[in-house]
Amino acid sequence: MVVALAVALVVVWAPEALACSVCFDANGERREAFLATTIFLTLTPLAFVFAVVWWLRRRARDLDVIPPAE
Amino acid sequence: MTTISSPMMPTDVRGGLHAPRVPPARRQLVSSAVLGMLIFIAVELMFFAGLISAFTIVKSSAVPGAWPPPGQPRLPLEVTGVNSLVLLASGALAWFAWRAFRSGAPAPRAARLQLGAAALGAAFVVVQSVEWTRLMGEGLTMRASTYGSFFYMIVGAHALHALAAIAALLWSWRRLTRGRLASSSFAAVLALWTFVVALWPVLYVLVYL
Amino acid sequence: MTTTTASHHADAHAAGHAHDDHEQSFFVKYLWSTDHKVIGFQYMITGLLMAMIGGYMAYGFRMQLAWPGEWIPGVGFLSSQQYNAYVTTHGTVMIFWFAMPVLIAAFGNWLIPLMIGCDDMAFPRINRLSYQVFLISAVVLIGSFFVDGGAFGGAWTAYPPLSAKATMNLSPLGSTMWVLAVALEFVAFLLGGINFITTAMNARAPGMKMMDIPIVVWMIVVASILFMVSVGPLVAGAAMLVLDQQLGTAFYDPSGGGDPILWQHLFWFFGHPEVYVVLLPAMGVCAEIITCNARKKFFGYKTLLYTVFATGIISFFVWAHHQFVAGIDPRMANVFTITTLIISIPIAEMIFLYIATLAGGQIRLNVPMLWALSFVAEFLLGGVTGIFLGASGSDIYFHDTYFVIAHFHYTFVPIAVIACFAGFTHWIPKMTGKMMNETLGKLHFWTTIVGFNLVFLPLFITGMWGDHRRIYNYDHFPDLSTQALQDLRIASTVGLLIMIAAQGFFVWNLIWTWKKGPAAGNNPWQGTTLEWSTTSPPGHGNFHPMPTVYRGPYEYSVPGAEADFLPQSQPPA
Repeated sequence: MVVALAVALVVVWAPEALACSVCFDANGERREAFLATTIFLTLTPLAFVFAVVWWLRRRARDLDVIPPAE
Repeated sequence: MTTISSPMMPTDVRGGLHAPRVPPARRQLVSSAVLGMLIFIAVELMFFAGLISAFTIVKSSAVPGAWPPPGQPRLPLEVTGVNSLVLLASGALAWFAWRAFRSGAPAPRAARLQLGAAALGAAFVVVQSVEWTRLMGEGLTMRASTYGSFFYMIVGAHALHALAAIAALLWSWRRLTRGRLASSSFAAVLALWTFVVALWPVLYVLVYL
Repeated sequence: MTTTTASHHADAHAAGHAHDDHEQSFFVKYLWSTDHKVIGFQYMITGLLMAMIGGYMAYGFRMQLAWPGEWIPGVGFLSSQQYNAYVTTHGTVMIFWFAMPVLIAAFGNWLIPLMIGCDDMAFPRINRLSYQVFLISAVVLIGSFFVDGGAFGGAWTAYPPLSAKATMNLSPLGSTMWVLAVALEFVAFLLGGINFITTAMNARAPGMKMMDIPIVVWMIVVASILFMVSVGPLVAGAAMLVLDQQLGTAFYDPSGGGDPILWQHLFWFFGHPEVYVVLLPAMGVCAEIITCNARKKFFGYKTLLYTVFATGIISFFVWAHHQFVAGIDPRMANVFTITTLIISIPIAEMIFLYIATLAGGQIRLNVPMLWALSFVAEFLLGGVTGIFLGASGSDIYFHDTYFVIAHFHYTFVPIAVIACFAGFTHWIPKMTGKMMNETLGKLHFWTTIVGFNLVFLPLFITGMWGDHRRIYNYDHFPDLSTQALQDLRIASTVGLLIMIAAQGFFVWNLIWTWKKGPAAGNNPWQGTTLEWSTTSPPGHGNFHPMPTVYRGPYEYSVPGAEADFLPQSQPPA
C-alpha cells in the first residue's frame, strides 16, 4: 500500500521534471500514446506466456499422466 | 522434488514407497508441432503488437483533423466489413474440419471442410488485393502519407501471413485427402489459421474505423 | 538414414535404434548435418571467428582514439566514416554474432539434448536451417563493408533519422544490408529458440521432472522465451526502417508525419530483454561450473529458478531506461527508474546463491572454475555501476559518456567473453574427447582478465570526467583533449592490446589440444548431469542406451555415498 502510494505520488509529481530541455513535446496526446503503447507492449507478451503456461498446467492436471510440475 | 529441497539427504527418496518404480515414458503435454507453432505465434503476435503501437503513436502525433489526411481516399469500410465475415467464416470452417477429423468422421468430409476454409481465405485475400489496386489508383500509396504507409504495412503484413497460412491449409488438405495428416500437424495448422483470423478484426477496427 | 535420422521421435529412435554411423562425405557430415553437436560446433566456430572480426574493429578504433590520425598497423589510416562503421560493426557483431550464437545457440545446441538425455533436437532440420540462415546473415553483414558507400555507421542502435536517410548516413546500401543482416539473424534465432524450448519441454529423459532439469538448460529456455516475445516489435520496426531507407516512406521522418522516437520505442523493447537473453545462459553456464567445482549441491535450486522467472518478467518493465534523455514522459522515466533498480535485486540474489554454493565447498581452481569465478566478480562491477545509469537523475549526466561504455562492457565482456571461455573450457573435453592444457589455459585467463580490466577501468574515470562517446578525434575538442584524459585513453588501448595478445594463448591451447590433448574420458570433472554419462565425444544418437533419470542434477558430496557425486542416471541403490 505504501509502495503503491509512493509510486502514485512519484507519477503525479514527475511532469515537473521534464528531462530534456530541447525536445519538449507540445502534443499531450502523443505522450499518452507512448505511455499506453508502453503498457500494451509490456503486458502483451507476459499475458501470452502466462496464458500458455496456465493452459499447459491445466492440461497436465487433466491428463494426469504425470505429477504436477513441481 | 523431495531430493531438491532436502539439503543433505541420501537421494533415493524420490518415488517414495513405490520403489522400485517403473520409469515413466518421456512426457509430452502438448505435441512438439503445436508447441513450436505456439511459440511462433507468440513472435507474430508481438510483431503485430509492434506495428499497432507504431500506428497508435504516429496517429496520435498527427495534427488534430489531419487523420486521416484530408486529401486522401477513405478506406472501404463496407466491402472490407463483408470481407471480414468471409475470413471469420473460413476460420469457423477450419474448426469444423478439426472437429470432423477428431470425431472420426470420414476423411473426405474433414478434407472438404478444410478445402472450404482455404478457399474462403483465398477469397478474402483476393478481395483485399482488388481493393488495394483500386486505392492505389486513387492515390493512396505507401509514400503518399504515413496514413497510407501504415495501411499497407499493417494490412500487407496480415495479408502475407494469410497467404502463408493458406499454403499451410492447402498442405494439410492434401495430406488429409491421402489420409496421412498427423493430428499434431493439423492442430498446428489450425492454431496458425486461428491466429490469422482472430487478428484480423483487431486490425480492422484499428486501421479502418 | 543419413541426415534426416534424427527427425524421428526420440523414443521411437531410441527403441528401434540401429547403429548407422556409416561413412558420410565431408559436406554432408559437417555442413549439412542435422546433428545438434555439429550445429553447436558450427555456431561456436562461427561465433568465435566473428568475435575476431569484432575484436579487429575494436583494435582499429581504439588505436585511433589513443593516437588520433596516426597510421595504424594492420588497418591503415582510419577515416571518420570508417571509424563510425567500425564502431557500429563492433557493437553489432559482438552482440548479435558473438554473444548470442555462442551463449544461446552453441551452448544450447551442445547442452540441451545432452543434458536432458535425448538424441537430438525436436526439429533437427529446422535446427540446420537456423544455422544456415545465421551464416547468410553473417555474410551479408561482412559484405556490407565492400559495397558502394561502405558499411553502416550509425551505431548498433541505428537511431533514425541517421539510419533512415542515405543523405545523412552516406551508406545507401550498407545501412539496408545492416538491417537485413540483423533481421536474418533474428530469423535464425527464432528457429533455434523454437527448437530449444520445444526440446526441453518435450524430449526430456524418462524420470526427469521440471525440477531435475540442469540450471543452464532452464536459463537457455527462459532466455529463448524472452527473445521470442521481445523480438517481434523490433522486426516490425526494422521492416519500417528498410521501407524508409529504400522506398522513401516516412515512418521515422517527422517532416512526413512520422516519429523518430518510435524506433527507440520498438528497439529498446527488444534491446533490454536482449541483455537478459544473453545474461541468463551465461549465468547458467557459470552455475553449472561453480557447483561442479565446489563439489557441493547448488544452493537454492528452486530459489534460483523463481529468481530467473522474476528476472524474465521484470525485464519487460525496464526498457525505457534507455530513453531517459529522449524526451519521454517523466512519469514513465520515474516508473522505469524504479523498475530498473528493482531488477538488480533478483540478479543480486543469483550472485548470492553462487557465493552460498561456494561457501564450505571443496573448491577446485581449474581453468573453467577460474573463468566462472571471475564472471561473478566482474559482472558484479558491471551491475553495480548500472545503478547510476538506471537512476534517471544521474543518467542525464552520464548519458553518452564513456561511463556508459565502461558499464556496458563490464556486463557484456563477462557475459560474452568470460562465460563463453568458461563454458568452452568446461565442455570441450566432452565435445571433443580431449583435455585442454591447464597451464596455457591459466595464462590465457590471467592475461585476458588483466587486459580486460585495464581497458575499461580507465573509461569509468574518463566518463565521469565527461568524456563524450561517438567522437572520432578528440583533438578537435580542447576541453576533452587534455593530457590526463588522453593518458587514460592510451592506457585503455594498451589494455586492449594485452587482451588481444592474450587470445594467442587460447589459439595455442586449441592447437595443442588438437595435436596432443590427452584423452578426456567420459567424466573428467566428475560431473553429475547426464552429458557426463555418455562417451566423449558423444556418438551418433548421444546415448546407448537412452538414460533414465533418478535424481536431481547436483548430487555432490552426498553423505553416505561412495563417490562424492551421484550421476543423475545412476539408479538408487
